[in-house]
Amino acid sequence: MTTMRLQPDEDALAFSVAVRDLLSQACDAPALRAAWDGRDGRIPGLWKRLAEMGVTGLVVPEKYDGAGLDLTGMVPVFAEAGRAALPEPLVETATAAALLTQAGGPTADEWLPRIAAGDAVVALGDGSPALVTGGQWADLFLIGAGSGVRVLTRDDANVEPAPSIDPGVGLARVTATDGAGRVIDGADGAAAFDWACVAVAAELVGLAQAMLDRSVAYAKVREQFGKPIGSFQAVKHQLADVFVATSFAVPVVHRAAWSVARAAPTRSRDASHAKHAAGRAAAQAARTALQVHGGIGYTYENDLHMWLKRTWSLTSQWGSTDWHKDRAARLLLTDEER
Amino acid sequence: MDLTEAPEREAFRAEVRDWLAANVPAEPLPSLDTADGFAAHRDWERRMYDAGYAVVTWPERYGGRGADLLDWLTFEEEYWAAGGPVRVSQNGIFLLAPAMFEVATEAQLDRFMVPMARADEVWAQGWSEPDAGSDLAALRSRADRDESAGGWRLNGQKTWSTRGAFADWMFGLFRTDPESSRHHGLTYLLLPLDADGVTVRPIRQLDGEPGFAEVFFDDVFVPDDQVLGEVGQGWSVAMSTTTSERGLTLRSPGRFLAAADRLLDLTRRTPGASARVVDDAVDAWFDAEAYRLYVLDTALRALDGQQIGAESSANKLFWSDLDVRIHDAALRLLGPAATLTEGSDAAWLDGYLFSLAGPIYAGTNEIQRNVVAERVLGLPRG
Repeated sequence: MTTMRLQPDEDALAFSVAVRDLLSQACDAPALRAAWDGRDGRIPGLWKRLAEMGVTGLVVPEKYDGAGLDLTGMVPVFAEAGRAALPEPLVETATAAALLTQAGGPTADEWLPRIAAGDAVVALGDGSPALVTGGQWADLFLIGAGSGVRVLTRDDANVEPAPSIDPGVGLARVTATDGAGRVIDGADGAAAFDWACVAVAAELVGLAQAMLDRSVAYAKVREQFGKPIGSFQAVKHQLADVFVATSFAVPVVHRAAWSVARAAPTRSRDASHAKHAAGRAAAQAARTALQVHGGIGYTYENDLHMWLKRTWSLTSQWGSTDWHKDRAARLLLTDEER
Repeated sequence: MDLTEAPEREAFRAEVRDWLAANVPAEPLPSLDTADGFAAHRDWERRMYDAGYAVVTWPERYGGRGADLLDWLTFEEEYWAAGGPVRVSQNGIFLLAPAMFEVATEAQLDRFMVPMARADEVWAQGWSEPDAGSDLAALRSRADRDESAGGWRLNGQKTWSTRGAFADWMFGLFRTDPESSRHHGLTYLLLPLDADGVTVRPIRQLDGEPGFAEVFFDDVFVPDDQVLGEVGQGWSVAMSTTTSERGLTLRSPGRFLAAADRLLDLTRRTPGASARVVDDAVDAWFDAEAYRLYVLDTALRALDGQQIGAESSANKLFWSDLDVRIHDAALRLLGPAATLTEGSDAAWLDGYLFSLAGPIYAGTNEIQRNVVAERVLGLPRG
């Protein structure tokens, strides 16, 4: 018998079901709407509850009170975060945990236990100034700098909230104070970037599935010409196409997680493939969802808009869908290795 | 998650690769849709059979090696990467065989499987009729009971019968209950195409060659031992076949991976290729890889004992569209050489013509979208 498996492990899947249960209550539509209309876009107390469940420490090593999983174990949780349109810096903080784990040293000793405990939020960026997701909320910034990564505390940086149509990603313009912070040499920023891309790809798959589910549910009850609009082939075929695009993105994301976790030679190509496939599926799901919902989908009153806007955020951040296609094309066409 | 290939599978891959490297004909065989080409493809199948590669997943007593789905996927990857010929026995070994192993009697298996695997008997499909295409359940060809002779008498017509022009046998659906309608009262029958009363009229396909045929039945006798499954249960037997057709066994990922790899090669050696074609070529490679991973995941879940169902419709939508896009990109790269029917690049044109049939056969893609919408997403029937 084979031990091969392209699905996340059973334990990881079971854990993600528990996360889904939590989010279906703590991050339901009313809570989300309140967060979007609230002060900082987050859901009060939710980060701490996620930490108590073990979510923020999932990829933190056990010696820092984490669960010590790799990316393949956390992918299903990211998918749940996407499904719920979770307005919390999960990808950013988890990516930082993976990066600090790889780099080690005093910064890791100091911050990894706090990440696991839910006492610290980290954001990542490249260059300065950088447009950074989660930047509004972060206690610590890890900024790509040459062959290393610069570590900035909140005091080392000028953080300016950047108004976004999606307040749930905490976008900010972050500028390092001259000479501030210290550089961790040997911190692999490129690997961390690929890590984040796959995490975001998993979120995009979750978003796509949520938008498809909403659209199907709506098409079953909304009636025109005396019958549900979901009985018309013009509607059916669009939704079937979204199902196909989403279904075929899932194993691509899982394989990319494996490549990142194992530092495979194809890591960057696979990460770009995942971000591209998931981004394309989510964009198609969003357009179709809006079209199937019709006029009501175009309102702020209907919940759909929060999923649409998260899709726009995530397809643009961490390298756009087009950027990833171009990067993969370069890697594929110059590299004979499949 | 674990994507490490087991050592036994790596060994199997190496063994298959070596055999193919030594045996795949250097020059492409003549077209399958000519008499000479058909004969050459039969010879190739016998060579495969003798070496134990014709039907790797079948039980040993029928010429297989009892390989699992993963070995089959491995075999297919190597087969197409090595440029192996199109399988003339495909209708039999990939479409009929799964139904046979499901419902055939021991005597039927002993009679039919080995000749099928050796391509001594090549099978044609008998599904579509002039008035039953996408609406397959509207089929009208009749099989009337002949109690004294112990069998059935066929009258009617089938069409678009793939491989019909040169095939030896046909499997198909016939209405055995004249009072029945739609999916009821149909029976799955096996019959030789040289039987009395059978007329085969080859149809030239888009490429000008007789790739399929229309087949007329005039009081053709079929004995009871050529009924597959129960009388009146033909629809469900046939559906087990179409599930494999749309799903795993008809279009293995290896085919598309090999074509997508060749497409990237063509892209690399086409100076000044338009950025738009390069973009589409990369898309095609992405999707070939996605198809490989999707089928691998499906196979692993099937081996794990999970039920695999309506995913096969999503599968067919994906690969049929992918196949067209791979070949369309290649022809665009070839520019003015795209329409040449001879020379080293003519295979792209052949492949393009073949790919164009994909969204039509095995249930049109419009029907597949309905199936996905209704059976997977649960949307109401129109």
